[in-house]
Amino acid sequence: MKTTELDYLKILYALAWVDSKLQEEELLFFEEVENLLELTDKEKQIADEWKKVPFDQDELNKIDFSSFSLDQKKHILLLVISVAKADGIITGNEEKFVENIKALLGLGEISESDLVEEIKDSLDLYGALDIPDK
Amino acid sequence: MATQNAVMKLTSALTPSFESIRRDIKDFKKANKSKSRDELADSYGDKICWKYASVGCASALPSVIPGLGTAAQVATEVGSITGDLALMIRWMGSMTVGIAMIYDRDIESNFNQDFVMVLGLWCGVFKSAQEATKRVGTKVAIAQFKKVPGKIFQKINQKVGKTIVTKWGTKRGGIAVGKLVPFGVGSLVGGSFNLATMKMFKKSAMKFFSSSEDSEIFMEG
Repeated sequence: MKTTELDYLKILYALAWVDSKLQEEELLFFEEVENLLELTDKEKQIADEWKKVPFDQDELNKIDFSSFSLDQKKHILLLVISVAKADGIITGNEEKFVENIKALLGLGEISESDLVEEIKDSLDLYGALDIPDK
Repeated sequence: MATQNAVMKLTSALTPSFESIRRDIKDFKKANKSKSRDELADSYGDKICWKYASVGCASALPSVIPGLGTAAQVATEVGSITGDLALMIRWMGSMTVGIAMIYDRDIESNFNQDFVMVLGLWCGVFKSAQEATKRVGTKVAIAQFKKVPGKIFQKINQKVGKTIVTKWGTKRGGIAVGKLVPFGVGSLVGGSFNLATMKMFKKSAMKFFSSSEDSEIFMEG
């Protein structure tokens, strides 16, 4: 996994720690994500440290978001919004986090509905689930 | 012959819209005039990879995109496959078309065959001559693809099926959506995985279309 993808995982940990504690379900989630991403041993060690100690939110400022493509940035924002909303409740801290990530990504003007509309356009272009019943 | 037909029918059922992708490529080239052909193909492939991963995220938002879900079963001519798998293959098809167009290949005439070849490269049934120097296998000249015996399709079918089960089916079989994957974001997790899968597929598509049309490809064993 490239450095930028480890940073991508770092963003998820930063979000998870925004309420000062990792829940059991969050730990299981990260275990599953990391298995699927097939981390190297070194990357697993780094991720394991992120599970143990509260994540320093300033670490996000060290990520060079300028190297991310626009589609990658939009994906990250949508990912953050999806994870924040996943349990049906978005806390004040999570909302602030989303706004902070938007600013760091340079996507301050974009809304969740903008992102969703783009996804729908992509589905029209590249293929949706209306597979013809031939 | 049955396996060959099954593979061909699957690709046929999931063929993307050539005209839409042609327009997409035209716009993409306009927005990226300074890029070389290889850079264009790489960037375009990446664009599709990230958008595909984003579909996974969006599907995790409640009721955002109706019809998208990990449990959707889609019937095609070859039998039922899961909706998310059909979506992945369809997007792979779109990526194949787009990258072929960037390399000025006649993809509309050859989509089924070319897509199967890229699938074969992706799942390791086919290797380029550079990778296969230590293996002596059946030499499959791209130009002679139409004469390839059915057993190659069998191998592709087995390998694609095995690859998908190994990387997708088995692991996702272990995920009871909403249970093992907290946050209720089964598709989100799948999206992260799919990104890696799609990126590997992109490399296979680029390898195939960037090589000359009389390049040789080897089959293992």
